[in-house]
Amino acid sequence: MKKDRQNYYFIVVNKTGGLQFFSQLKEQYREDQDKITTNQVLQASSIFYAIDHLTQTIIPDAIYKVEQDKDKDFERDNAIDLLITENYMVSTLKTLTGLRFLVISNKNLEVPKKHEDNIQKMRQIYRLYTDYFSKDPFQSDDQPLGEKKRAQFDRDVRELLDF
Amino acid sequence: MQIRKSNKVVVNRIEKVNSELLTLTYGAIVSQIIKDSDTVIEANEQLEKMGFNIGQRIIDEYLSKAEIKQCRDKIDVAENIGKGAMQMFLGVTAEVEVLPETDKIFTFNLHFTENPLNDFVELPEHLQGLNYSNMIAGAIRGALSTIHWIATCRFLKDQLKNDDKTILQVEMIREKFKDDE
Repeated sequence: MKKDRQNYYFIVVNKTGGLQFFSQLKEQYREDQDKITTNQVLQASSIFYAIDHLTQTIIPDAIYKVEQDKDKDFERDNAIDLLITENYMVSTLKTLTGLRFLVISNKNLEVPKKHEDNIQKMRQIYRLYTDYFSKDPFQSDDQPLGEKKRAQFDRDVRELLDF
Repeated sequence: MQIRKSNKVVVNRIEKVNSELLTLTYGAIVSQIIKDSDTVIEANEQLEKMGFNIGQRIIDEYLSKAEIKQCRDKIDVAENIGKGAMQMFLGVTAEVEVLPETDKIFTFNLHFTENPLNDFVELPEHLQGLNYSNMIAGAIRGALSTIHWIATCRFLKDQLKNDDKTILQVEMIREKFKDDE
């Protein structure tokens, strides 16, 4: 019996807005449906990166005043946490190093709880990420993973997100 | 408010490797760099550069394993380096001494009483100018560079040069982006 999978995509955007990793978790139900293309995801990554910067520039005055009292170098990074549409949601985790992990999942009634859950899972994936990306001296930021590592990372990610 | 998980919890997650292997490997690297370099200054630079590359990669490892969400202030950053990261990667902690801030440059000293890289090492006469652990200095600079802090790190005292402890001084300043006023 097929599990009711709630997570659709997992994306990693690097610190310059390029797509670093993409995994399609939920299978397509309809045979004739066009699969999402890598180019579309590439474009989506750079647009997301740009929007993320937007929220850091339109900080409301009231909030800005509170932040002003703090050490200017340690202000809250107002990056996007969660995007909600009518049918799905995008949970984001931004690391201090500028990486962004995105989980696109089904929107059910308990959005805050699911979002918290997604964030926790992404923190675990972050630990795996360092194994696959940071520790390989030949792996650079703008290069996609090699085939073998890609398959392994994909398996690990699916295990964590395909509950 | 606990920003960082206690060191014990984090260290237990790390797979341990024989520290002698680390000492030997590091020693081999230093020896080779000295052979390949014309001067001690060049050797110091090479070590620092290698450290820089390590630092840029190792920071994600530290941030993910220690579950750092946000540092409160500069002192928190210094403590994460001297106590958190040093414990995680070298198995030692350094005492953090914060110096007065000048011109937006934040300076702190890390006091090491032990250093696994130095185990069993004695600097010969002609290499007294060598900063043996310069890779650590580079690593700190590299790690800070990824989170937009420009740092310079240098050794004030070195146990290999007959000082009673090793003191590494870090000066850091926030990197300004071109469109900031």
